[in-house]
Amino acid sequence: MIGRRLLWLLVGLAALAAMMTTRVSHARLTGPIEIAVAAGAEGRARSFRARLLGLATARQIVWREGGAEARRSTNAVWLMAALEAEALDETTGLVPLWRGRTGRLTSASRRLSGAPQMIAAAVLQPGFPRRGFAVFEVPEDEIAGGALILGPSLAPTYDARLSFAPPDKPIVAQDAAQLTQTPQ
Amino acid sequence: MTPRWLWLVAIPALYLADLGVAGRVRLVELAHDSELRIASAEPGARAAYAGREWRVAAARIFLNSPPDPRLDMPRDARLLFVRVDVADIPALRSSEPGDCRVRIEDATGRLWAPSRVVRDFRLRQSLSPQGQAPGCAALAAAPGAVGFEETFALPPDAKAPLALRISTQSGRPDAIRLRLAPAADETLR
Repeated sequence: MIGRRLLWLLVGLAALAAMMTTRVSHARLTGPIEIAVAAGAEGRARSFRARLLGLATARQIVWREGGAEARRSTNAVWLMAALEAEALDETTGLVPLWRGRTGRLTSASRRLSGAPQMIAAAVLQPGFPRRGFAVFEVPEDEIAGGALILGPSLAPTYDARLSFAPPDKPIVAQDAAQLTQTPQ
Repeated sequence: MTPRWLWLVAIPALYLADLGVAGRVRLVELAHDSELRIASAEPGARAAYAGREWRVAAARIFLNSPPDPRLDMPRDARLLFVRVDVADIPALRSSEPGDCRVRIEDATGRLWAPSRVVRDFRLRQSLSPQGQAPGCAALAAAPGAVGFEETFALPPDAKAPLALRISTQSGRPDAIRLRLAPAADETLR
C-alpha cells in the first residue's frame, strides 16, 4: 500500500517537475511570430507590409545635410538595406535588425542621425507606401548568411516579425555610398 | 469513492493558473493599451469620456492638388484639420488624460495618427482663427475648459465617413469615436 502511494507521489512530482522545466514564459508566448519572406517577395505582418529591394555595402556613407556634406566611416562595413514599406491598418513605426551569420542581432546605426530616408526614423501611415534605408554597422563576416528582420517595435507582442532572405542578385559593394537618391 | 489518482488532474489546472497569474501584469498592460469598447457620438455632439466632455468644434479637409509647397505630404493626399473642445466634468474627473491617443478612423477601420504636415507658420495660423492650441498630449497640463488641434494626412482612398477616435491612459480600454462631418473639400489659400 505504502509502495503504491509512494509511486503515485513520484509520478506527480515527476509530472510537476516536467511542466515546471518546460514552462514557456508569457513573454515568449505573446512574443513575435517570425515569418520568413523569400528573396524579392513582399512580406506581410499584422500591422505592416514590406519588401526588401536590395542590399549594398560600403566603407563610407555620405549625404547632404544643411548644405554641407556629412560623411561617416567605419572599420567594419556599412550594410545598407533598401526597403519599401507601408502600414496596413494603423500608423506604425518600423524597427529593422540585422541577424548575422552567427545569430547576433544588430540594430540600425544611430551614427547616421540626420541622414535622409532612414526607415527606422519614419512613421508609416496606411495608404502611404514609402521607400527608405535601414543601415547597419556590422563585421564583414556577419553579412553572408544573414537576414534582415523587420518588426513594428523591438519586442512586439501579439504581432509578427518579417525575416527577409538576402536578394538573389549579389550585394553591391561601394567605397562610398550616397544616401541622397531614392532607393531603387 | 473518487479514485485517488484523480488529483493528478489538478496539476495541469494549477499549471494554467500559474501561467495566468504570471501573465496578469501583461494582460492588464494590454488592456490599458487597447481600445476594446468604443462609444460613438454623432457629428457635433458632446461625448463624456475619462471625466471630461469632448466635442469636435471644427473639421476641415483640404486638397493638395496642385501640390502646395507649404505642406509636407504626397500630391494626392488630403490635409484634415480638426479642433476639439474639451471641458472638465468636475464630479466625474478622477485622473489626468495622460497618454492621450488621437487618431482618424475611416469607414474601413483604418487609423491614422496625427502628422505635422503644415510647414508654414502663417498657414498654421490661418487654420486656427481662434488661436493655435497644442495637441491632445498637452491636455494634462491644462485643466479646465480647453481645446486641442491636430492635423492629419489622409490618402485619396480613405473612405468617408471619417471619425476621430480618442482614448487616454485612464480611459482605456474604453474609447470614444466622434463622427466628423466636414464640409466639401477646400483648397488652401
